[in-house]
Amino acid sequence: MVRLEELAQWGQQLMDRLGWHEGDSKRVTWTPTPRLLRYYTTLGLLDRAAHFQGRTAFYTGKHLLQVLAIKHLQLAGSKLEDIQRLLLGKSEQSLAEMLGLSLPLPDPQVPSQEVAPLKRRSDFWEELPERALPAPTLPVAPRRHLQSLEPLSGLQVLIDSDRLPDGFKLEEFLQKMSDLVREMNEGGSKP
Amino acid sequence: MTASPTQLHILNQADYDRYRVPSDLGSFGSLQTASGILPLQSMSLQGHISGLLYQLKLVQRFYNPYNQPLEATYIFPLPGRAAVSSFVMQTEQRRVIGRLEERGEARRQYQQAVAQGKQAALAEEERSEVFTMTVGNIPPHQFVEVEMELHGPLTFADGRAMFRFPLVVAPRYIPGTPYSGEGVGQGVATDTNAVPDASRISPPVLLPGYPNPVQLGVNIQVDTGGLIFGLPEVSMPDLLCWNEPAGFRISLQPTADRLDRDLIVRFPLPSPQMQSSFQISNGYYVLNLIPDDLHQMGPQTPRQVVTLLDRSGSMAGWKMVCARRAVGRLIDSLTDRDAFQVLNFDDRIEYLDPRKTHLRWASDRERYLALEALGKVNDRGGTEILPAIQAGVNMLRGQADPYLILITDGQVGNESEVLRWIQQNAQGIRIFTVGIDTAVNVSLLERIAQVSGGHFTLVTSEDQLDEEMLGLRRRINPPLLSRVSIQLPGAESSPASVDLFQGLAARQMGFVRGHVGHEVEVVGYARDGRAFRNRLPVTHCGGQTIEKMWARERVLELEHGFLAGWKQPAYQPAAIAQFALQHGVLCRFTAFVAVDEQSFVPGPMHQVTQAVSAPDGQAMHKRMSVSAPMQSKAKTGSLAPSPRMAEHPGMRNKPTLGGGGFFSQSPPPACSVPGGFQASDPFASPDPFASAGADPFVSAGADPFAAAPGADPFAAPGADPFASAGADPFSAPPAPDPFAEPVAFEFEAAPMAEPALDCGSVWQSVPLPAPAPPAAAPPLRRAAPKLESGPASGWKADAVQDEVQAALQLARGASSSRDWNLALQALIEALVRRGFQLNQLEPLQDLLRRVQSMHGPVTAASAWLQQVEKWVNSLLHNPASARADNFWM
Repeated sequence: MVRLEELAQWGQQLMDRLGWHEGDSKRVTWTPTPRLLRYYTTLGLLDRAAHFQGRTAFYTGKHLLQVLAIKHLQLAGSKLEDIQRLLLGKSEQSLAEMLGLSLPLPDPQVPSQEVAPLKRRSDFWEELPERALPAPTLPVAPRRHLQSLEPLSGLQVLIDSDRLPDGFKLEEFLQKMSDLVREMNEGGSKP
Repeated sequence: MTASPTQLHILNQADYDRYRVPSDLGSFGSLQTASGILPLQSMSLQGHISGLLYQLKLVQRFYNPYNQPLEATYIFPLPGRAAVSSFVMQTEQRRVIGRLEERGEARRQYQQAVAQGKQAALAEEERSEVFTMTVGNIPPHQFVEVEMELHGPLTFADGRAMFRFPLVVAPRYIPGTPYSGEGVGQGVATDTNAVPDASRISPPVLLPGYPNPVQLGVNIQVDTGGLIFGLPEVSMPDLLCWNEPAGFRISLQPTADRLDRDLIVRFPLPSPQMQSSFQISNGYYVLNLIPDDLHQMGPQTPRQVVTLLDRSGSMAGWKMVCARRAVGRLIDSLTDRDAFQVLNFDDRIEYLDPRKTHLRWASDRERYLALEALGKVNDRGGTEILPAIQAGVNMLRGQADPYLILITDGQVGNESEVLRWIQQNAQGIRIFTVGIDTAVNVSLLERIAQVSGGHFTLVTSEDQLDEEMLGLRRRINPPLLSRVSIQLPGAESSPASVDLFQGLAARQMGFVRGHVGHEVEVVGYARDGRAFRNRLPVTHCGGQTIEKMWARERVLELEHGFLAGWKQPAYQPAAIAQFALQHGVLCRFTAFVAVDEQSFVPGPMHQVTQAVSAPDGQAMHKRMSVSAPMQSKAKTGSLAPSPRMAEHPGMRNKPTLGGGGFFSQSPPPACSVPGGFQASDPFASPDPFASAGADPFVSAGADPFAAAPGADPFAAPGADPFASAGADPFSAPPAPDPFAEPVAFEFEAAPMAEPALDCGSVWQSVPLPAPAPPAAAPPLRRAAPKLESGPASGWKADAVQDEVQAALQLARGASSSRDWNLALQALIEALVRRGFQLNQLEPLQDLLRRVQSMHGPVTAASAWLQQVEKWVNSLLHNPASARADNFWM
């Protein structure tokens, strides 16, 4: 069983061997993402991953055949609905026939692991979910601060810290303002 | 047939022959095999509805288009409340009657039969509304039909009876971390630690352009029983309803249908015709209670309402608009004595305004601001319902009259987690659920409402929203009558007691041993403590429907107890299976199996899982199809933490065929953005089967919840039913005290005194006067709302009890001797009318004589009051023990 990256390489090898190309003899490149594979699984075009280790999924030769078949039909210009109509429910044998490959597939030239999938308990309907659920706490907004500062009699500055934009450096601003006020004051007091 | 599909049309014979659904869907071999390779060919629904109960037969036909034997797996829905009582497999050679067995045993029999090459079928239940049908060893190019018989109820709300038959299991959001073993089912989702059977409830999804050849036929006769029904509304435009001598007939001729919505028929039934009724058959009874002509008089008490709005990706399109409007309507209906808050959740929880995080008084300004902020809420990520419910419940803890309203489509897989948490932690808060979609997860939403004492409302289109919200607004109040139960010795009913809400019918089913007379009495309690009684005539009827429906209701209760973790022996799987086998209903722990012993189908078996259409309301899948125009708005910024795009080393900045998905050779559309991998991303909304990348309970990194290092709440000893002796897990939550003053909220105003900065001596901070807090609610009058029953009502208040209580109330308020005089006289009168003899009331008369000889204020008033109350109570409950010489002790 191989992981996603190795599946991509294996697929690339097989596509090169089959001589697939698009357009003017351009080599087909294939870069699957986990999300893409999950989407194909939702549509029923790809089997579920055979094995999981944490969140890493492991795939087998049948998965490779399935994605190659999808790719083959895409290169031929089919829309995904038609691909679904053609491929839904196909067995490994018929997929291999469609692609012109023979089973079993040639060994992948990529690192693969032989993992025995764990057997779950057979009476799954008696199984209860085991997640531990700490109670989440919601963020509570800080209490609103309304401040009024009077640097000079007759000059009042009202600060609503709630409505100030994020990242506004209030202390710097106030420092600058106090310098300015001092300057103006001293300037004004000079004749 | 006129253009409007919902009008009745009286047909003549020619029309009838044209539209008539043949009772058998053709003989074998006459139906042309459809072009698809999916095994399900047709479904037919036949039966009848009488009163508020129905009995139906569902027939599913499978065909094997391959050259080798086929095992077809179909994950499909049935109404949650319906009991499946029989199962038959019809092959081309034989008709086999299925047996109900314990689930493990049934699976073993099926697997053994299939391994031996015999034809077999297996029907199992995964959730109360999700079932799996597995038909094995279908010979090449042959048909197999499976038939199931269902008995179920209609629901009655706001003057309409609703018949609902779901037709599709929608894709669900599956939280949790995936298990590394094999999946337990044939579905497409991976089993996780939050949803251990996710692969059993997730059929593959067909793209909208797939030619879906499932033929759906419907033929249901409705017996109105003398009542006058209004024009029915139906959810499928091709459904025909026409008049018959005894009622209606609903039919749909077998046409290829995309099964993407539930079949819903609503019959308007004018309320005066509906009466509470009691039907009994072989000791099994069903009690339908209607709150006819009961009116709540008096001021409305203040409520605290938290609304949870689902804004996950599955709510895209009209559902989001509908949900926002629903919240808007609810906010509009609040008065300035209520307090509210709105939380919107997908895989995160957010407030409408992050600065306002507490319950707010529902003043005009607050409501306006909330409505304005609602307009910006759009669909986004995955559906983590449980954190949202936890947050809502925490916010409402300790409030006087709390309500939680959940607006969602409910499509999640971790129902057992949610229900377990609510059962254990949310006692006392009524949760009202609103399900919005053409195919909603009714089993979860209905169950949440039921265990918390609320109500579930279904909205299947935008037009219905207004009237459903109107009904809901009236119901966000304490019920008219609570703890309603039947006074019948030896009866066990499920649920044990119900609450009667305005405009809703409540149903109680049960089993009584022994004889039942001509009438039964039902008693319920109003908020001021008065008892209301209703006497109902007993109707005897035959058939097995009531027994099956009660068994189903009871088994759902038992399963719920199991999922909630109750340890009593009745809630263990073996006991539940035995109960279900005894009454012959399908449940989570039993399964139907049918094996054709005389068949043999050679060859290796191929397996196909039937793929289904996504429900109409899930616009996401429509967007993903190629025929839909490209969505140019880049949604990458709003992608939830899950699912993350793996940074593949081979990924370059040009649109690659892999990442661009299925748009393959077509030239990139004009609106693609350079660096176009992400703009042409067809997965603008995450697909529903993605396991949550950021499990909010595990990774404290990205999510706003401070992961509290608390103990596992499921280990809390308070959850053990044995700890609180006599606690009935299914009893209604304790009624909130309407007289308690609401807890003071945090107002916006902050204390003004402290200067936050110290910038030198230039500044002199002058504290501002505190801005006026929002206008306080008008003071709560001590008079509670009173329930009055009108003249046409069957509910009669216990007047006599009331008089005694009223007299006691007078005594409580009495301070001077004259007051005491009046109070004691009233009390004696009331007790005499109650049936007591004067010589039994000697102590009160003594007291009265004493009071009459006094003048002025009474000093020992409180002591007298205590004695009087104690004595009167003991007199009322146990006359023999209340003797005259007990009085002054």
